[in-house]
Amino acid sequence: MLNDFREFQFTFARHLRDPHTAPLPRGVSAEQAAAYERAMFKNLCDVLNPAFPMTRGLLGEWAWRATVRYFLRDAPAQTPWPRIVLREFARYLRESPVTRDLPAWLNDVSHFEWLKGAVATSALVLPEAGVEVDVTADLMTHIVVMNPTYVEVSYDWPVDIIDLDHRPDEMQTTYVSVLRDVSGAVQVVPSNVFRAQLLALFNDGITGSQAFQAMAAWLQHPNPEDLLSYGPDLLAQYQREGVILGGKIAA
Amino acid sequence: MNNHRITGAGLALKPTPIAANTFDTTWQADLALPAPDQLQFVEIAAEQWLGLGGIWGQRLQEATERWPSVCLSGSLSLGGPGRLDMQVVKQLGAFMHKHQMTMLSEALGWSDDDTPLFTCLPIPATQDALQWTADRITQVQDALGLPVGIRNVSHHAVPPMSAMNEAEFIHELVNKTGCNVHLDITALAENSHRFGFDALAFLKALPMKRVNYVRLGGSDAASTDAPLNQVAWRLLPAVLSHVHPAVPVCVDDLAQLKRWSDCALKTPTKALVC
Repeated sequence: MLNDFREFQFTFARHLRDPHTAPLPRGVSAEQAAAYERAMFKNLCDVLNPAFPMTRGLLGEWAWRATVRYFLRDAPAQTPWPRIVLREFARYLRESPVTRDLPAWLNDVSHFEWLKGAVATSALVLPEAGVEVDVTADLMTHIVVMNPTYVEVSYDWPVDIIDLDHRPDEMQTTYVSVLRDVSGAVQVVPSNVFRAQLLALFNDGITGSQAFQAMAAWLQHPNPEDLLSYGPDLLAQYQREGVILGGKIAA
Repeated sequence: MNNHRITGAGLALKPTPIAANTFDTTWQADLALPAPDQLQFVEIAAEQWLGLGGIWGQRLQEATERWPSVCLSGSLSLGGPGRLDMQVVKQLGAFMHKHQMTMLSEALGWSDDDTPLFTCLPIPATQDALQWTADRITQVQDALGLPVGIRNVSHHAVPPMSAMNEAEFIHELVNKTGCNVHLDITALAENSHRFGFDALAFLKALPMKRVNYVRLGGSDAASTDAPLNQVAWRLLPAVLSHVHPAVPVCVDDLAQLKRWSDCALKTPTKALVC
């Protein structure tokens, strides 16, 4: 059996999360409870509002506030640290029954917003500890070192052109590379299936030449040498974008 | 910044909201903390900084390498009704270890019902709650290997069932756990104003010898409520006259820092007798 004080606390917490349904416990006035509800809402919005400006704008203030309140009610955040709260809120926006009737493209917009913030604040360091990178190395003959913050993602909707004045009418599969560059800024680069496949190959620690040969085999290219000839320019472009950091210096 | 005693005057490190375009806005201008001679430490709120890498992590790292730092938290939910989340305790411990923080200031309240409530509520001050909270403080101290400083916070309600006032509650917790007391003067001023009790009497009922951290500012109400702010500043000499001169004082901005230095110089020690 719970002690009286804990029973009170659980009842109070349920009320604060869902003031219209869960009763106020004895001993607390409606005004006092309302002050705590406001504090919860404000503290949570201080974290969420700056991180989801587009989602919030597209939802409109009323729906945004309602969603934040449902999030407080359903309490999916397990720990109070900001990255966890943002991740759980983004997940809630996509998966909760209360957001089921929102336009489908909003899921992509909120995920894209969350992803950019998650990449910006990721604890990964560039380059990863213990990896020596030569930024001037020939990427065709050296093992390519990827930016550890780089994420390749595809959306059903054109997230890169949606804003308050442009709500999409049609689905349009959209590939983007998201990464944090060496100065700490988040970069979003348009991508495509070929590029995504090629860049994924470098997770295995191979050279540019090996990657293009693998792509040629995958594409059943009649003349692999033609494809390889594009290699140096493409790899240089990826390095300028910050997706590739450089060539690995042999230990 | 290891092996540094926290003393003198400190500043709370201002948070920067998480937004992907932060870099484009005021970040660069904000990056360098001003370094007035008076600044001896920085205060880091775990709820704003824990787990952040990128330019956030870099800024935090620069600050904690330059100054000793104090960890401010309101997330352990010391008087919470559910389980004590040892994962949160562990994450906080790792965060403190990474930044070589040796002082933890934890809100005396409860802030979850197994998941976060994003605010800190007052603990019903019953005998059972006292023992419950003391046991949890002991668990935290054992896990982290350092004494916790329990910090009074601003309240909107006096919880029902309370058998003692907050000062007595704090006194008992100190007796039972050996924890320290962190005094938030602005929160005390707010509570005394809101609930009509005498702040000086509250101070007299506290184990002032166990106060090893003092905060001023840190309240939304105080920044907009000038009379309340003045109450807090009037309380400061009374507090400083009762605590050891080496006890650190944390303020919110540089103007306050300057004012604190002037105030500290003018305060005769032991002007009031507890």
